[in-house]
Amino acid sequence: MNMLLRFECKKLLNRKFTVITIFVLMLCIIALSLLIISENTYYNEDGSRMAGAEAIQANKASQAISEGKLTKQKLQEAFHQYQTVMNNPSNYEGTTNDLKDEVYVTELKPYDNVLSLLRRNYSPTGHYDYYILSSVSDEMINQFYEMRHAKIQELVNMDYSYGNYSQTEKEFILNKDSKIETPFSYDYTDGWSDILQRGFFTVFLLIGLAVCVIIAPIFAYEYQTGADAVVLSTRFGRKRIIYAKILAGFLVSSGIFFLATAFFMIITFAAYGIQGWNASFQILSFTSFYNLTILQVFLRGLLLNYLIVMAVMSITMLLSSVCKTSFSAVIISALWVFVPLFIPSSKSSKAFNYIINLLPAKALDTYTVFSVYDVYSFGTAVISLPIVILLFSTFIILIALPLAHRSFSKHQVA
Amino acid sequence: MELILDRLTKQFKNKIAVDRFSYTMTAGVYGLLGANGAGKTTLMRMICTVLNPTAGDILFDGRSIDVLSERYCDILGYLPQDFGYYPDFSARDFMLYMASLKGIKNRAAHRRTDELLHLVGLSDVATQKIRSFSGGMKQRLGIAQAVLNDPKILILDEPTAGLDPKERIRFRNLISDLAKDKIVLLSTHIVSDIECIADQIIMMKKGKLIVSGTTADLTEQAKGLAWNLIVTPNELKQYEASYCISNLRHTSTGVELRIVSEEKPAQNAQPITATIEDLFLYYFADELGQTSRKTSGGIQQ
Repeated sequence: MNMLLRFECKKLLNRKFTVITIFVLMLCIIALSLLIISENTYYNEDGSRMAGAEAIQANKASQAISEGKLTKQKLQEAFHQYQTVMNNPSNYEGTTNDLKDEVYVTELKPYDNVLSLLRRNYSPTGHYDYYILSSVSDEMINQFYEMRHAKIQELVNMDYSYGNYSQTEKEFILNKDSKIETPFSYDYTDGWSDILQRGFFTVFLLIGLAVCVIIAPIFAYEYQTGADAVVLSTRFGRKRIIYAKILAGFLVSSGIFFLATAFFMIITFAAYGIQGWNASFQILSFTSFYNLTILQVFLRGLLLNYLIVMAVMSITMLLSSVCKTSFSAVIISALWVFVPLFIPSSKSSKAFNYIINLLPAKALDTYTVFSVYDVYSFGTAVISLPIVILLFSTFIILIALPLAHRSFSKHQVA
Repeated sequence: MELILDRLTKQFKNKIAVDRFSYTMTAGVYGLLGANGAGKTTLMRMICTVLNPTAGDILFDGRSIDVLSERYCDILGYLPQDFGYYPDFSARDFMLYMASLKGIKNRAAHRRTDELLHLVGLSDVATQKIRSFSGGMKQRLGIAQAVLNDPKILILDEPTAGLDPKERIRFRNLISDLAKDKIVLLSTHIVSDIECIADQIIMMKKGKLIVSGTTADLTEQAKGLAWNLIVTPNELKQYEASYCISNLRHTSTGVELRIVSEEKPAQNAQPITATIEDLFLYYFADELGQTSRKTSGGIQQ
């Protein structure tokens, strides 16, 4: 089996197309990482602009003041700082409503993210009002976490064109939300924000595509080369070879997944560091109802995306065992991965949206998966989206691989 | 050791490729002759388990190969008509890969690979990619992989197709060397290849077994079917239209024809010793674009 497995891996990896695909994948990841890093900016007191790694360091230093538990005192401190700055006419440029650069940078910038959380909490549901803080009171600040929970209650009780939440779904979401640890843990999270909101999805979508391209010939290549006749007439040609191929597919796909992920993480961590891993996920996604830290979301996202990529691999294997050529397997498989990207959410059908949620183009978006309120009801049981994605991907793997096995073992050379 | 084909049938939609084919093979070399589309490849694919029969059975030593399953494949060696290979593999890697598919242990696989690559004259190019091989080299690699597991049943589908005469002779000798104590079934439409190495010849037409026997048996059957006749160039067209002509040669006295026919084609036609090729033409003339023996109506003298 070892030799068979080694040769199956070699068959996948030795192809020129595989080498090119991995090379292009790595290039894209480098380009994406550098783009994300380079878009970090920081303005000095004199209005001069810093970008990239330098800006990241400046932002980190600037936000250090708010690190730790986001207690009512810390929220009040930020709020009072805002009021003090805004209420002092000498902080404005001439007669305009624009703050002076140096005032913003030294007085407000360190509290910017905390103030942003306050604005999100006190803005009307579904809106973000930048000036809302002028109508917020100390009492409201003291009620920060209660008001956030009330906002979530409001969100689940709203009328939606595609259908409203059932009572059990509302209870499920609110119950989960009430278990969120407060006060939130706050830290510099720009790096994690960029990783989860911008890099993660694109990186895993690219990995999914690369896996489609690399795995597509796994069975189809036998048909294409005509080697199927020789292979199928051998002792292990209808059983053990299929296990070897499936295992080789898993090993190669996993290798690509972890190599590409590690590549992306090394570049981004090198620029941002790992600071912020222990912060509450709500610092990034304020209304998320999951009681998780950023690292926990990251790790869960990694696990989910690994399973999704393995599901993509399994479907590609099935197509490869059915299609006559690896090209048609790649095309169909890539369509399955990419087409949902261009399908807008339905305004009338919740069921449609819930199905689309499970397809790779949506499910790979970890940040959204852990932010939205899409929960699945099965009778009286309510299951959250990440769990459904996990179950669905596992189901796809468990269905597609035996079908691929069956298809190749029953293949007739005619 | 006995391989029985019992009313083996394969139907593709409206076409019957193999039609109730029954035959028994014991150790020896069997040559399967037939025109293109006769069903040779389909028959061989069924014997090699890569194509399921529509009806009928294949029994090895009295047991169905469906029941024997992997144990049957273990004693099987197969070189398909269009031998598929992995262009990016070296000859050695391909052999080792096939050895692992045939369940040969690692050390034995290396030893057997070296032996066979040497036997087929590919030792020097063992580490070269197969994509760089000539047609003859690929066929030799094909036969080497087929005998890796020292099979009891060796199926070779058109093993000499596309080879030059020198390669063909080399290949025929190789098959003779490897055929000891085995059932070897090889198909071809090159009659001379079969005449040289086959103990038994099986002729197949439109999916059916039409005749079988040793070279001597078939030559005996062909007695009285071959005629030598010298005609004028003007008469040639008439004879071509009416008889199956296996050979023609322009001489100083006219055109010398070798005619395959049950009846004497002309008063001055001389009977000659018939060959397997004559018998082949006798059965397959219609499929080869020649005038069928059945439609021959004779020439007005």
